[in-house]
Amino acid sequence: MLIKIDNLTKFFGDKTILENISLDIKKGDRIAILGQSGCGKTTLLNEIKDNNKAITKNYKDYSIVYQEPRLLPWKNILENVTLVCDDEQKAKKILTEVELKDHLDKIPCEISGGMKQRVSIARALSMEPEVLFLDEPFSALDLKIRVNLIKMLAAELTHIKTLKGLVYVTHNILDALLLASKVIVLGGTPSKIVYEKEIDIPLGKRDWKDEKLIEIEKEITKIFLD
Amino acid sequence: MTLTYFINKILNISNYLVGVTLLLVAWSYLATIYPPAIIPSLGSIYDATINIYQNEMIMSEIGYTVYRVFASSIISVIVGVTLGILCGVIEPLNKAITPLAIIFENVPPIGWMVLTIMWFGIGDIPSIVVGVISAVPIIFFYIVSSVQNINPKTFEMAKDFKLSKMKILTSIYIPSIMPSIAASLSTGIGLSWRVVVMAEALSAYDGIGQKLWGNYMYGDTPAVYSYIFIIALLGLAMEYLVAHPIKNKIEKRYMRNVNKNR
Repeated sequence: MLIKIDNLTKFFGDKTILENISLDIKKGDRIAILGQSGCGKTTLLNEIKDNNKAITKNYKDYSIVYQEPRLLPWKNILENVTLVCDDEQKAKKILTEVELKDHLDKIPCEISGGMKQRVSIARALSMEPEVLFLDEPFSALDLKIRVNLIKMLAAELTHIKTLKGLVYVTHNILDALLLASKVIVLGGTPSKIVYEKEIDIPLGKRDWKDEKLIEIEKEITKIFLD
Repeated sequence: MTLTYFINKILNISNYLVGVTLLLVAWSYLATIYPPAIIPSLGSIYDATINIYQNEMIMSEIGYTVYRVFASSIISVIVGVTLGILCGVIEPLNKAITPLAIIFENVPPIGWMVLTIMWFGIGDIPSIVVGVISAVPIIFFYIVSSVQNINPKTFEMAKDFKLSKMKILTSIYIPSIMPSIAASLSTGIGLSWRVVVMAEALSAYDGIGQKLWGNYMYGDTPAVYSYIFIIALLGLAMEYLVAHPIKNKIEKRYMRNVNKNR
């Protein structure tokens, strides 16, 4: 077991945000936590990331990709990655893989939003983490850029040998279905797990037109809209 | 098109000259009404300026003053920035220091001048110290607020990626407050200039402020006015030849669309 959440309940003041969340994350899992805005999914991610006695963690290190790139504006692309990994060769290699080889000495304000998010992904992967957290990393991007970026990330994940698991928070159903090995949906007030589904299609073969994915998409849309 | 361009250019420059011309005209008129000991004629001020330039060791006097201004600005920036970063990071320290800074800020420079002459005697030190004490609180408040305004998400990133304390200082704190350091350097030089020249009048044996005061004591009114004129010109030079270029350079490097990238 990589991460075990046992009956987690979380309050903000006297308001219950999360109630009785139990979840087992096994080695090799890619868990997508889906839910609508304000349902507490980022809170859940932060609880996993930080320390909560309801959560047992069985990994040494993690890294994270945020919704905003959170790059340092005064450092160029390469420096933003070497800042965390201290290894220029490794940083260059990963930046080449995310197709940023020609932009190493640009500063963040000189590149597009999608490119910034690729830098942010490269920064997270350069740490060679055991667990990778993604907090709505594609939400601010256009559909086409988003789908391409997910494909790129899926390919990158296979390169990181240390990686044991991925926890991915999003409100976008398609994003979740293209990447996750298991989807859970948070719903209700306070939020509980209302839906769980394993997806056994290999990462490289995921396609938005896939019948199986469309079926799951419909089920989750129904939960969201009801 | 080029002709209208030049006409516009000349009109544009002439706008700037209107105020100065009016001042000179008014001055010439007033000089005919009041005695020369109050308002000397423009001609006598001009002669006094030439005389100062030719006969007095004006360059070495300016040198003393400029040395004091730079010493005081550099010390102010070092003290103000260091204290500002520490207090921006450590809230209890901030609470302890802020009242002191407010008190220091509200004692007028003349008060510090009397004290520093008592403590250090007449010489270089009083004017430098008065400059430092006047500038440090302002720089301090600048830096504290800019440290406190750094986006907390940047620190969350630093924590998630386990950046060392040293990296957080050199890669996040210092670059984030660079624009404020630039602004405080510019403020520091400007303020030091005014305060040091004033302090020199009473607390130094040399320097341009002392020459101004000395000429007043001798009753040489045209020389007093020409020293004021020289002081104003030098102040402008400090502002536009020293403070602004430094500020622009730093801002160009550190303020390029900073907010877009958070």
